[in-house]
Amino acid sequence: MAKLLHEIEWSEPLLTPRPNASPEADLTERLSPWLRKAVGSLADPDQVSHAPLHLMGISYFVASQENACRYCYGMARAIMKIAGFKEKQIQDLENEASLADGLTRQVVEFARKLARSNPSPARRDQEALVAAGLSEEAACEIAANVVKACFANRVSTFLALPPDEALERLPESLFGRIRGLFLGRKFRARHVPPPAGFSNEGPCARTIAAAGRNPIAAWLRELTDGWFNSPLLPRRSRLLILAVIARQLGSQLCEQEASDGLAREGLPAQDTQALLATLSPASMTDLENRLVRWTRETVWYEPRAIQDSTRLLLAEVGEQRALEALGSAALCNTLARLALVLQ
Amino acid sequence: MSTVPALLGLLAAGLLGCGVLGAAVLRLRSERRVLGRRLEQSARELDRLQRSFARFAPAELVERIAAEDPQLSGGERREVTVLFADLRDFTQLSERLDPAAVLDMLNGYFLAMTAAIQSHHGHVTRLMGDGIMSVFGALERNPWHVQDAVEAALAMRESLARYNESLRQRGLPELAFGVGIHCGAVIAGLVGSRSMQEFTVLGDVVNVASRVEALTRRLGGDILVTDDVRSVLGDRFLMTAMPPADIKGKSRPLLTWAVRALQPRMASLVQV
Repeated sequence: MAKLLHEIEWSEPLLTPRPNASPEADLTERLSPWLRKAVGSLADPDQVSHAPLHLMGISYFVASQENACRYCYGMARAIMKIAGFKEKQIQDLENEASLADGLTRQVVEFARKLARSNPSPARRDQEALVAAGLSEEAACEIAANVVKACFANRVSTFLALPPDEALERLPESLFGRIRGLFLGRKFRARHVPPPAGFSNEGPCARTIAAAGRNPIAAWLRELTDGWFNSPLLPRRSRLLILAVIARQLGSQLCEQEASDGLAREGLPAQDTQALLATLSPASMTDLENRLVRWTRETVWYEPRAIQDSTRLLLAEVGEQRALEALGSAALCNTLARLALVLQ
Repeated sequence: MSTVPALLGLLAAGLLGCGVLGAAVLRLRSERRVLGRRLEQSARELDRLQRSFARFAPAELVERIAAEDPQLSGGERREVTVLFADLRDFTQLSERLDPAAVLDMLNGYFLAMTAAIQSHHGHVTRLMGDGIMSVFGALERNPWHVQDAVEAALAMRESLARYNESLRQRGLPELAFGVGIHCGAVIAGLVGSRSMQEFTVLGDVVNVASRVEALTRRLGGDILVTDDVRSVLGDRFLMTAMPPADIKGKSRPLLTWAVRALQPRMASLVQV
């Protein structure tokens, strides 16, 4: 059973805000450009091409609960209320109770399974969405939305972002509900045509293809390119993070893409295999050892424990590299989970 | 003239119908409220039970049982590493100490060992007297379960040293343990009757790990691993080959290795 909002243990924020700066502005300034852009875009209303809007909201909400992200879960809960979901409907989703609608139930189960990935989801789980009534494109978009939530949940959890209490309180009062009617527009998802100029070429292209052709897939493409070209961590370290997460999740396609990338960086495939078999510290640099040790914790975790580990990483490798590592791990968990639904 | 009584009759019938319907709606609402309260109460009760149960089994296992994971009840074949730990001469020790002190010592020991095991991705699946059986790689995918188990054993050694320091300060005797580790394929799942079940792993790996732990008394050394374990460890540990030893159930002597420490150049990189 996934945890409920009040059951999640959450620590103090990872970063101490600098004096005379608003927490949001301060945080985004400290992130590297690709991560800053990604985090900024998470606040935009969802653009959906194929899937029903309410199922996108539900899948994001359920994934955030499953990942026990106090920040995203609380925010998604408030936004669902502002969007018109009743408390009882939300509780039913949280407890997986009374979900009479077969498609909704299927989407909830799929979102939970993909977010948790233990045991690993597979192509048949996505096919079950199609069997329940979604189009192929809509099923891909739901999968992409779940892994988008996994990215947001990880970044927020690793940073231990303080819950947005003002937003969470908004739907609880009459005045808040009235404000919500106006604010609702700010959060409301909308249907848009699939991106016209979206060319899925670059690192992890085969994995991103699993997201289909929709705005989230285009977002993932841009995010992955930005991550891959960021200079704050060596490219080999980034690809090792991807390889370790893919191996841990049993995501063969993603591991292959990481291995191909490492080969281009000068690490032959057999050396990558030997390294992944034992994670021997002798085969890695000091930085890689520290990153890989922390990366392993990012696949399945309790928020409080991973926040403590991230704090330790920050002390070991410094702020810039730690922030880059947490963004990398969040994205690699996203890609590796997405690749699982192709298997 | 006859239309007025007819209309009145219709009105009365309508009012009666509305009344009956209204009463039915009220009754249904009331029943729904009662059912809602019962459901909430049941959910709270289940939640409480789950929390209580989590003290007796790994939290991941409790969640999978609650979710009625078919792989648990049907069993699954998995590659795992099994670690057995046993306290040396604890039975004799317990005979000369106050029972409360024995329990206190044992609980402190289990607390320290469980923390060391869990911090290396292991799960304690059974406590047997003063013995601990733990498994690595059974509840979630862990491609590095062998290394994790050996690092956990080293962490247990360090934890025991710290715990002994606290026992010394309290005027209590120190503890010593033996640890045996083996890896291979097992069947993992729930076994038992409807009234009592436990998650366990079954197979020769479990027996061999237990026998290797027993070998620590015969061969010396507190942490022994089999040759199968050593073959996948790479170069991260300092180990010494032990003389081949006969164990029950095996036609050929078993080759084991005593784990001394992490390679010095790796000690700063690997958290034990």
